[in-house]
Amino acid sequence: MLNNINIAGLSEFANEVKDNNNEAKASYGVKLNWESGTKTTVTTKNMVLGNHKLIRNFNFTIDEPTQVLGVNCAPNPAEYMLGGMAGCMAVTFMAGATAMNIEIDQLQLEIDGELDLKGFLGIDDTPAGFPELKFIFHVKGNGTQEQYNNLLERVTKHSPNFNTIKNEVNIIGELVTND
Amino acid sequence: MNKSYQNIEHKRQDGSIWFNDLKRKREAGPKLQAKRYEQFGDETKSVHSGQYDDPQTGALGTPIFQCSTFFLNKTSYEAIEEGRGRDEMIYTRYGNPSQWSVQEKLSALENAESSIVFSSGMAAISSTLLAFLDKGSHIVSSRDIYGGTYNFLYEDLDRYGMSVTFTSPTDLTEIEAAIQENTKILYFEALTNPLLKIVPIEGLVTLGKKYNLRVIIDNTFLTPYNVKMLDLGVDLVVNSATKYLNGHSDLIGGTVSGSRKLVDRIWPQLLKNGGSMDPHACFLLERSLKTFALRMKTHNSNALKLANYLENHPKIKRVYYPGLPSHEQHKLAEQQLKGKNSGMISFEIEGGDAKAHALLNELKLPKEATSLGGVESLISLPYNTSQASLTKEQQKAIGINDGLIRLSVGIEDIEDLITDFEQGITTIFK
Repeated sequence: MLNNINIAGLSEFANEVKDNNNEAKASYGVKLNWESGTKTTVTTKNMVLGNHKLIRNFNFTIDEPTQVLGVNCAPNPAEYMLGGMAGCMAVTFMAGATAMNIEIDQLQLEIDGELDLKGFLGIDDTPAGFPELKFIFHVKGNGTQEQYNNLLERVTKHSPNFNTIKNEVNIIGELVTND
Repeated sequence: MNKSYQNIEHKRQDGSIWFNDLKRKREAGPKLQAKRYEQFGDETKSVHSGQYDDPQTGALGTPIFQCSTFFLNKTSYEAIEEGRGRDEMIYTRYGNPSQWSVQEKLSALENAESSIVFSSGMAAISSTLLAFLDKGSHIVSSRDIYGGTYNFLYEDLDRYGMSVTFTSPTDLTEIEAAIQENTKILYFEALTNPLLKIVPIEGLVTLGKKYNLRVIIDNTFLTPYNVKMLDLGVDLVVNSATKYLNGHSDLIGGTVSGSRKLVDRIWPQLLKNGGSMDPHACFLLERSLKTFALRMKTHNSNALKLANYLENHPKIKRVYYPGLPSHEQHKLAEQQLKGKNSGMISFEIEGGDAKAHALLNELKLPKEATSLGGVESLISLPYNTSQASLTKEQQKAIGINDGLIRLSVGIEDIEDLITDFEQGITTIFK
């Protein structure tokens, strides 16, 4: 299989979804548990894809560097967020490259951003989030520059995590107190 | 449409392609001949479906394609590139015309889009379950499940970070209570061994829908001739082909059938586990299946007559057969099996295991052997075969009582069978 991507399976899925939109519905979730200090653990919830449950038996730890109150035992939330964005863009890139008949020998993706912690600290009205993110794809393969440009345009259009971060997302919050 | 890039190669070249452009759709199969005999009865499907008549030589009947590999060409290279190797002849572990032929016959009999044949029933069961179990998954299955399957679930799942809960095969409340957050599959046998309890399929399917689970049924004791599990909403049906499907006690095999989407998920697991069926075994199975409907009709009718005879015999304490009004689930049997109650009978004889052994020695026609579903009647005692790992107390707790005999009724003349049992029982109680 080119790039070890099963494009026939992707084609079958795309055409199945054209016939039955419900098959494209994928519900995700995570559950976070505070451990101590800045350290938390995240468990992935089971997914439902179409009508069927997928068991997601994974967990990971989040912490902060010692300079920002943590014990530096795991990546911090910003790094997970950027990693999730990069992973999603990479999947989209690789599947797209395969459809375009480009053999990829190497793909690396860097995402960088600068936070101003004044927002977190509440010192002034500086927004708490990243004002800007920069990504760089390092690609080695048999594609042309024009093909790669096309591909990048597709990635920014179709990658779910890229678009979740780039576009406004409706977030519904709730607080439950357990006494 | 078979190819993902059919008529859109130019979009691939100029980079304007995206996933919504891709052409390949799932189709029933893979298959050698277009005709599926969907509108025909099981007798006709048994004879005609899947059969490949060689156009080159005019030979009637599926040849034995006894080869391990196939010439590679442009089409096979394209299939490998796209990841659709199941639809091309590349290597016999991946697929072979002999496998496709018998798979098509099975799909026709099961009303399935797709089927895979395996080198044994356990290869079919283990590959099917592993294909669908994610890390951390849980299965709900039955305490009465076949010993080989029980060992796989009980001894091996744990090593893969998966787990199982065994429940009653008949009590839907207990089955529902066993469903956990990480449950993925409900796995049951349609008719249990050896007490012939009937699993309420429609209730299981309702639970599957309620909790987004896959329902997988081992239908070996009933076969698609008696009940078509997929028509009842089951996701996948597995069979030991060694038993009724082949019916001649001369090969080992297994099958799985269902939607093309689900069976395609099992195919890569088959490649990894390696339980492919050999072409010669495929030939035997396809040939045997031509008489499948005929055989099943006789198994069913012989078993009903013999069950009635045994139930009325003063030396027989109890008969387990879904077709008898005395069966605890006879109403469910009428509704689910619709008069096709299988060729399996279990019964308890006066005098316990000693008399049971004596009877087996006296009988002239049934062969004392394990397995079932052959044209010849096969007879054995569960206490020292299928349930031998349990203590006497444990056996009693699950209903394996002293003197219990399991009989797979063959297709011999029913009067001959009844005469044989009459002489055997009379002799041992002289």
